[in-house]
Amino acid sequence: MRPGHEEIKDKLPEYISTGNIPDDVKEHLRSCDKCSQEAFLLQELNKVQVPEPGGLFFETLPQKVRASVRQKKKGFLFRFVPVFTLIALVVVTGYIYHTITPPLTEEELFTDPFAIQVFDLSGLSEDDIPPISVDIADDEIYLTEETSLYREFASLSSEEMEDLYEALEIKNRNGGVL
Amino acid sequence: MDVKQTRYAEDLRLIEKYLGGDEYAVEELVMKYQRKVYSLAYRMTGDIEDSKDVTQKTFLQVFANIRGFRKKSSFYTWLYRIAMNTCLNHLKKKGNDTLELNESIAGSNGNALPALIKEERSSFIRGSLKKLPDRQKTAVTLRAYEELSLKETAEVMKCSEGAVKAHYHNGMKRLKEILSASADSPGRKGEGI
Ligand SMILES: [Zn+2]
Repeated sequence: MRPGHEEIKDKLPEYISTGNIPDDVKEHLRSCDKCSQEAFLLQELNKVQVPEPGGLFFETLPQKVRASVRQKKKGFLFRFVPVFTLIALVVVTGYIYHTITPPLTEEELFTDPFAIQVFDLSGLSEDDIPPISVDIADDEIYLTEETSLYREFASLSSEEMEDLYEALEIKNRNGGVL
Repeated sequence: MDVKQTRYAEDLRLIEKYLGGDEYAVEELVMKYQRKVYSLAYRMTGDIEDSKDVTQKTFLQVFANIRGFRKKSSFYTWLYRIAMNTCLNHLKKKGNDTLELNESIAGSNGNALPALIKEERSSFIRGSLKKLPDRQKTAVTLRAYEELSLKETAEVMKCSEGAVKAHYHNGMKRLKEILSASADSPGRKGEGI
Protein backbone atom coordinates (compact mmCIF):
# COMPACT_ATOMS: atom_id res chain seq x y z
CA MET A 1 0.00 0.00 0.00
CA ARG A 2 1.20 3.49 -0.83
CA PRO A 3 2.12 5.60 2.20
CA GLY A 4 -0.31 8.44 2.80
CA HIS A 5 0.36 12.15 3.42
CA GLU A 6 0.33 11.89 7.23
CA GLU A 7 2.65 8.91 7.31
CA ILE A 8 5.12 10.57 4.93
CA LYS A 9 4.99 13.85 6.82
CA ASP A 10 5.87 12.06 10.07
CA LYS A 11 8.80 10.26 8.48
CA LEU A 12 10.14 13.11 6.31
CA PRO A 13 12.88 14.13 8.78
CA GLU A 14 14.27 10.60 8.75
CA TYR A 15 14.10 10.38 4.93
CA ILE A 16 15.87 13.69 4.48
CA SER A 17 18.58 13.33 7.13
CA THR A 18 19.51 9.86 5.90
CA GLY A 19 19.12 10.88 2.25
CA ASN A 20 17.27 7.64 1.76
CA ILE A 21 14.01 8.61 0.01
CA PRO A 22 11.88 5.77 -1.38
CA ASP A 23 10.38 6.26 -4.85
CA ASP A 24 6.75 6.41 -3.72
CA VAL A 25 7.71 9.13 -1.24
CA LYS A 26 9.45 11.06 -4.04
CA GLU A 27 6.28 10.76 -6.09
CA HIS A 28 4.20 12.12 -3.22
CA LEU A 29 6.60 15.04 -2.80
CA ARG A 30 6.07 16.01 -6.47
CA SER A 31 2.32 16.25 -5.99
CA CYS A 32 2.04 17.53 -2.36
CA ASP A 33 2.98 21.18 -1.79
CA LYS A 34 2.99 20.88 1.99
CA CYS A 35 5.36 17.94 2.05
CA SER A 36 7.67 19.32 -0.62
CA GLN A 37 7.97 22.65 1.23
CA GLU A 38 8.77 20.81 4.42
CA ALA A 39 11.32 18.61 2.63
CA PHE A 40 12.95 21.72 1.21
CA LEU A 41 13.20 23.30 4.65
CA LEU A 42 14.60 20.09 6.13
CA GLN A 43 17.21 20.02 3.37
CA GLU A 44 18.12 23.62 4.16
CA LEU A 45 18.48 22.74 7.84
CA ASN A 46 20.64 19.75 6.98
CA LYS A 47 22.94 21.92 4.86
CA VAL A 48 24.00 23.82 7.96
CA GLN A 49 27.53 22.59 8.51
CA VAL A 50 28.96 21.87 11.92
CA PRO A 51 32.52 23.22 12.13
CA GLU A 52 35.27 21.08 13.69
CA PRO A 53 36.00 22.05 17.30
CA GLY A 54 39.77 22.00 16.71
CA GLY A 55 42.47 21.98 19.38
CA LEU A 56 42.46 18.17 19.66
CA PHE A 57 39.09 18.41 21.38
CA PHE A 58 37.81 14.97 20.37
CA GLU A 59 41.23 13.41 20.92
CA THR A 60 41.49 14.60 24.53
CA LEU A 61 37.89 14.65 25.77
CA PRO A 62 37.55 10.90 26.53
CA GLN A 63 40.62 10.98 28.82
CA LYS A 64 39.51 14.24 30.42
CA VAL A 65 36.09 12.83 31.25
CA ARG A 66 37.62 9.59 32.59
CA ALA A 67 40.04 11.53 34.82
CA SER A 68 37.24 13.71 36.10
CA VAL A 69 34.97 10.72 36.76
CA ARG A 70 37.78 9.02 38.73
CA GLN A 71 38.32 12.21 40.76
CA LYS A 72 34.60 12.32 41.56
CA LYS A 73 34.65 8.66 42.68
CA LYS A 74 37.58 9.39 45.01
CA GLY A 75 35.75 12.46 46.16
CA PHE A 76 32.82 10.29 47.13
CA LEU A 77 35.00 7.98 49.26
CA PHE A 78 36.83 10.81 50.93
CA ARG A 79 33.89 13.15 51.24
CA PHE A 80 33.91 12.85 55.05
CA VAL A 81 37.66 13.09 55.48
CA PRO A 82 37.62 16.88 56.15
CA VAL A 83 35.02 16.42 58.89
CA PHE A 84 37.05 13.68 60.60
CA THR A 85 40.21 15.75 60.25
CA LEU A 86 38.51 18.73 61.85
CA ILE A 87 37.23 16.71 64.81
CA ALA A 88 40.66 15.09 65.33
CA LEU A 89 42.30 18.51 65.12
CA VAL A 90 40.00 19.97 67.78
CA VAL A 91 40.63 17.03 70.14
CA VAL A 92 44.41 17.10 69.66
CA THR A 93 44.57 20.89 70.03
CA GLY A 94 42.54 20.69 73.24
CA TYR A 95 44.78 17.97 74.63
CA ILE A 96 47.99 19.83 73.76
CA TYR A 97 46.61 23.07 75.18
CA HIS A 98 45.67 21.27 78.38
CA THR A 99 49.11 19.66 78.84
CA ILE A 100 51.40 22.54 77.87
CA THR A 101 49.54 25.43 79.53
CA PRO A 102 51.35 26.49 82.78
CA PRO A 103 49.28 26.49 86.03
CA LEU A 104 47.49 29.73 86.68
CA THR A 105 49.02 32.27 89.06
CA GLU A 106 47.08 33.28 92.17
CA GLU A 107 46.02 36.52 90.53
CA GLU A 108 44.76 34.71 87.42
CA LEU A 109 42.84 32.34 89.64
CA PHE A 110 40.86 35.28 90.97
CA THR A 111 40.32 37.10 87.68
CA ASP A 112 39.70 34.10 85.41
CA PRO A 113 36.04 33.14 85.72
CA PHE A 114 36.80 29.56 84.57
CA ALA A 115 39.53 29.13 87.19
CA ILE A 116 36.97 28.57 89.95
CA GLN A 117 37.02 24.86 89.19
CA VAL A 118 40.71 24.55 89.97
CA PHE A 119 40.58 26.81 93.01
CA ASP A 120 42.02 24.67 95.81
CA LEU A 121 40.27 25.21 99.12
CA SER A 122 41.78 22.24 100.99
CA GLY A 123 44.47 24.27 102.77
CA LEU A 124 42.03 26.75 104.28
CA SER A 125 41.05 26.63 107.93
CA GLU A 126 37.88 28.13 109.44
CA ASP A 127 39.89 31.15 110.60
CA ASP A 128 40.91 32.01 107.05
CA ILE A 129 37.29 32.67 106.09
CA PRO A 130 36.20 36.10 107.25
CA PRO A 131 32.82 36.16 109.07
CA ILE A 132 29.99 37.62 107.02
CA SER A 133 28.35 40.23 109.21
CA VAL A 134 25.26 42.10 108.22
CA ASP A 135 24.38 45.12 110.30
CA ILE A 136 20.69 45.69 110.19
CA ALA A 137 18.99 47.91 112.76
CA ASP A 138 15.92 46.37 114.45
CA ASP A 139 13.46 48.78 112.89
CA GLU A 140 14.77 48.06 109.34
CA ILE A 141 13.88 44.39 109.46
CA TYR A 142 10.24 44.69 108.64
CA LEU A 143 8.84 44.67 105.16
CA THR A 144 11.85 45.67 103.17
CA GLU A 145 12.43 43.87 99.89
CA GLU A 146 15.65 42.33 101.15
CA THR A 147 14.24 40.77 104.28
CA SER A 148 12.65 37.37 104.14
CA LEU A 149 9.33 36.28 105.58
CA TYR A 150 11.17 34.11 108.09
CA ARG A 151 13.01 37.06 109.54
CA GLU A 152 9.70 38.77 109.96
CA PHE A 153 8.49 35.79 111.98
CA ALA A 154 11.70 35.61 113.96
CA SER A 155 11.24 39.18 115.14
CA LEU A 156 7.86 38.41 116.74
CA SER A 157 7.66 38.10 120.52
CA SER A 158 6.19 34.92 122.01
CA GLU A 159 2.82 36.66 122.73
CA GLU A 160 2.64 37.93 119.21
CA MET A 161 3.36 34.40 117.90
CA GLU A 162 0.55 32.96 120.00
CA ASP A 163 -1.85 35.59 118.66
CA LEU A 164 -0.80 34.65 115.14
CA TYR A 165 -1.41 30.93 115.72
CA GLU A 166 -4.77 31.67 117.15
CA ALA A 167 -5.72 33.82 114.19
CA LEU A 168 -4.57 31.15 111.76
CA GLU A 169 -6.63 28.47 113.54
CA ILE A 170 -9.74 30.63 113.32
CA LYS A 171 -8.99 31.13 109.65
CA ASN A 172 -8.71 27.37 109.14
CA ARG A 173 -12.03 26.71 110.85
CA ASN A 174 -13.78 29.37 108.84
CA GLY A 175 -12.50 27.99 105.56
CA GLY A 176 -9.89 30.63 104.93
CA VAL A 177 -11.69 33.71 106.32
CA LEU A 178 -10.40 35.49 109.39
CA MET B 1 19.21 -7.23 14.93
CA ASP B 2 19.01 -3.78 13.34
CA VAL B 3 21.50 -0.94 13.81
CA LYS B 4 19.65 0.62 16.71
CA GLN B 5 19.34 -2.66 18.61
CA THR B 6 23.02 -3.43 18.15
CA ARG B 7 23.90 0.04 19.39
CA TYR B 8 21.60 -0.42 22.38
CA ALA B 9 23.17 -3.77 23.34
CA GLU B 10 26.69 -2.40 23.00
CA ASP B 11 25.88 0.66 25.13
CA LEU B 12 24.48 -1.55 27.87
CA ARG B 13 27.61 -3.70 27.79
CA LEU B 14 29.81 -0.58 28.23
CA ILE B 15 27.68 0.74 31.07
CA GLU B 16 27.87 -2.61 32.88
CA LYS B 17 31.62 -2.59 32.30
CA TYR B 18 31.92 0.84 33.86
CA LEU B 19 29.70 -0.05 36.82
CA GLY B 20 31.82 -3.16 37.27
CA GLY B 21 34.81 -0.93 37.93
CA ASP B 22 36.41 -0.59 34.49
CA GLU B 23 36.92 3.14 34.10
CA TYR B 24 38.13 2.79 30.51
CA ALA B 25 34.53 2.11 29.55
CA VAL B 26 34.06 5.84 30.14
CA GLU B 27 36.47 6.61 27.33
CA GLU B 28 34.75 4.17 24.99
CA LEU B 29 31.32 5.69 25.61
CA VAL B 30 32.63 9.24 25.20
CA MET B 31 34.44 8.31 22.00
CA LYS B 32 31.31 6.74 20.65
CA TYR B 33 29.01 9.70 21.22
CA GLN B 34 31.13 12.84 21.49
CA ARG B 35 30.66 13.90 17.87
CA LYS B 36 26.91 13.41 18.06
CA VAL B 37 26.65 15.46 21.24
CA TYR B 38 28.94 18.15 19.88
CA SER B 39 26.89 18.45 16.65
CA LEU B 40 23.67 18.60 18.61
CA ALA B 41 25.13 21.32 20.83
CA TYR B 42 26.29 23.25 17.79
CA ARG B 43 22.85 23.07 16.15
CA MET B 44 21.36 24.43 19.35
CA THR B 45 23.95 27.06 20.31
CA GLY B 46 25.61 27.97 17.00
CA ASP B 47 28.91 28.56 18.78
CA ILE B 48 32.02 26.33 18.78
CA GLU B 49 33.22 27.20 22.27
CA ASP B 50 29.73 26.84 23.74
CA SER B 51 29.35 23.48 22.02
CA LYS B 52 32.65 22.20 23.44
CA ASP B 53 31.59 23.35 26.86
CA VAL B 54 28.16 21.73 26.57
CA THR B 55 29.68 18.47 25.27
CA GLN B 56 32.05 18.15 28.21
CA LYS B 57 29.37 19.07 30.75
CA THR B 58 26.97 16.57 29.20
CA PHE B 59 29.36 13.65 29.65
CA LEU B 60 30.21 14.65 33.20
CA GLN B 61 26.48 14.76 33.95
CA VAL B 62 26.00 11.38 32.30
CA PHE B 63 28.58 9.64 34.49
CA ALA B 64 27.52 11.48 37.62
CA ASN B 65 23.99 10.13 37.11
CA ILE B 66 24.61 6.82 35.39
CA ARG B 67 23.32 4.83 38.35
CA GLY B 68 19.98 6.56 37.79
CA PHE B 69 19.82 5.36 34.18
CA ARG B 70 16.90 2.96 33.85
CA LYS B 71 17.23 0.46 31.09
CA LYS B 72 13.66 1.13 30.03
CA SER B 73 14.86 3.69 27.50
CA SER B 74 17.93 3.42 25.31
CA PHE B 75 21.17 4.98 26.48
CA TYR B 76 21.43 7.43 23.62
CA THR B 77 17.94 8.89 24.11
CA TRP B 78 18.88 9.32 27.77
CA LEU B 79 22.18 10.91 26.70
CA TYR B 80 20.36 13.21 24.25
CA ARG B 81 18.01 14.25 26.99
CA ILE B 82 20.91 15.30 29.23
CA ALA B 83 22.62 17.02 26.27
CA MET B 84 19.45 18.93 25.39
CA ASN B 85 18.91 20.07 28.97
CA THR B 86 22.55 21.14 29.22
CA CYS B 87 22.18 23.13 25.98
CA LEU B 88 18.98 24.84 27.09
CA ASN B 89 20.48 25.72 30.48
CA HIS B 90 23.58 27.03 28.77
CA LEU B 91 21.53 29.21 26.41
CA LYS B 92 19.41 30.47 29.30
CA LYS B 93 22.51 31.48 31.28
CA LYS B 94 24.07 33.13 28.28
CA GLY B 95 21.02 35.12 27.27
CA ASN B 96 20.33 36.10 23.69
CA ASP B 97 23.41 38.12 22.86
CA THR B 98 24.53 35.96 19.92
CA LEU B 99 21.10 36.19 18.38
CA GLU B 100 21.48 39.83 17.47
CA LEU B 101 24.58 39.06 15.46
CA ASN B 102 22.69 36.67 13.23
CA GLU B 103 19.89 39.14 12.91
CA SER B 104 22.22 41.86 11.72
CA ILE B 105 23.75 39.52 9.14
CA ALA B 106 20.26 38.81 7.84
CA GLY B 107 19.28 42.47 7.88
CA SER B 108 22.34 43.78 6.08
CA ASN B 109 21.81 41.55 3.10
CA GLY B 110 18.54 42.93 1.93
CA ASN B 111 16.75 40.07 3.69
CA ALA B 112 16.65 38.04 0.49
CA LEU B 113 17.41 34.48 1.49
CA PRO B 114 18.15 33.10 -2.00
CA ALA B 115 20.67 35.86 -2.56
CA LEU B 116 22.68 35.05 0.53
CA ILE B 117 25.92 33.25 -0.02
CA LYS B 118 26.15 29.76 1.44
CA GLU B 119 27.80 30.64 4.73
CA GLU B 120 25.49 33.53 5.49
CA ARG B 121 22.54 31.39 4.54
CA SER B 122 23.61 28.75 7.04
CA SER B 123 24.10 31.36 9.69
CA PHE B 124 20.70 32.84 8.89
CA ILE B 125 18.90 29.51 9.15
CA ARG B 126 20.71 28.70 12.37
CA GLY B 127 19.79 32.12 13.71
CA SER B 128 16.13 31.52 12.82
CA LEU B 129 16.16 28.15 14.53
CA LYS B 130 17.59 29.73 17.66
CA LYS B 131 14.65 32.12 17.80
CA LEU B 132 12.12 29.35 18.30
CA PRO B 133 10.76 28.65 21.78
CA ASP B 134 12.76 25.92 23.60
CA ARG B 135 10.35 23.02 23.04
CA GLN B 136 9.91 23.78 19.33
CA LYS B 137 13.63 24.26 18.82
CA THR B 138 14.34 20.95 20.57
CA ALA B 139 11.73 19.04 18.58
CA VAL B 140 12.91 20.44 15.24
CA THR B 141 16.60 19.86 16.02
CA LEU B 142 16.09 16.28 17.20
CA ARG B 143 13.79 15.39 14.32
CA ALA B 144 15.63 17.20 11.54
CA TYR B 145 19.20 16.27 12.42
CA GLU B 146 19.34 13.33 14.72
CA GLU B 147 17.42 10.70 12.80
CA LEU B 148 15.32 10.13 15.90
CA SER B 149 11.89 8.65 15.37
CA LEU B 150 8.82 10.28 16.87
CA LYS B 151 8.90 7.73 19.69
CA GLU B 152 12.57 8.37 20.47
CA THR B 153 12.10 12.14 20.34
CA ALA B 154 9.21 11.77 22.75
CA GLU B 155 11.49 9.78 25.06
CA VAL B 156 14.16 12.49 24.94
CA MET B 157 11.67 15.29 25.51
CA LYS B 158 9.69 13.32 28.11
CA CYS B 159 6.36 14.05 26.45
CA SER B 160 3.83 12.25 24.26
CA GLU B 161 4.37 11.59 20.54
CA GLY B 162 1.41 13.86 19.89
CA ALA B 163 3.13 16.69 21.76
CA VAL B 164 6.35 16.13 19.78
CA LYS B 165 4.37 16.34 16.53
CA ALA B 166 2.76 19.58 17.67
CA HIS B 167 6.06 21.17 18.77
CA TYR B 168 7.78 20.06 15.59
CA HIS B 169 4.92 21.22 13.37
CA ASN B 170 4.69 24.64 15.06
CA GLY B 171 8.45 25.03 14.93
CA MET B 172 8.65 24.20 11.23
CA LYS B 173 5.72 26.50 10.48
CA ARG B 174 7.40 29.37 12.30
CA LEU B 175 10.69 28.70 10.46
CA LYS B 176 8.90 28.76 7.12
CA GLU B 177 7.29 32.07 8.06
CA ILE B 178 10.61 33.57 9.10
CA LEU B 179 12.38 32.40 5.95
CA SER B 180 9.62 33.33 3.51
CA ALA B 181 9.13 36.73 5.13
CA SER B 182 12.80 37.50 4.63
CA ALA B 183 12.77 36.21 1.04
CA ASP B 184 9.60 38.06 0.02
CA SER B 185 10.51 41.48 1.33
CA PRO B 186 13.76 42.79 -0.13
CA GLY B 187 12.58 46.35 0.55
CA ARG B 188 12.32 45.98 4.31
CA LYS B 189 15.99 46.52 4.86
CA GLY B 190 17.33 46.65 8.37
CA GLU B 191 14.11 45.56 9.91
CA GLY B 192 15.44 42.15 10.87
CA ILE B 193 13.35 39.06 10.62
ZN1 LIG C 1 1.94 15.40 1.72
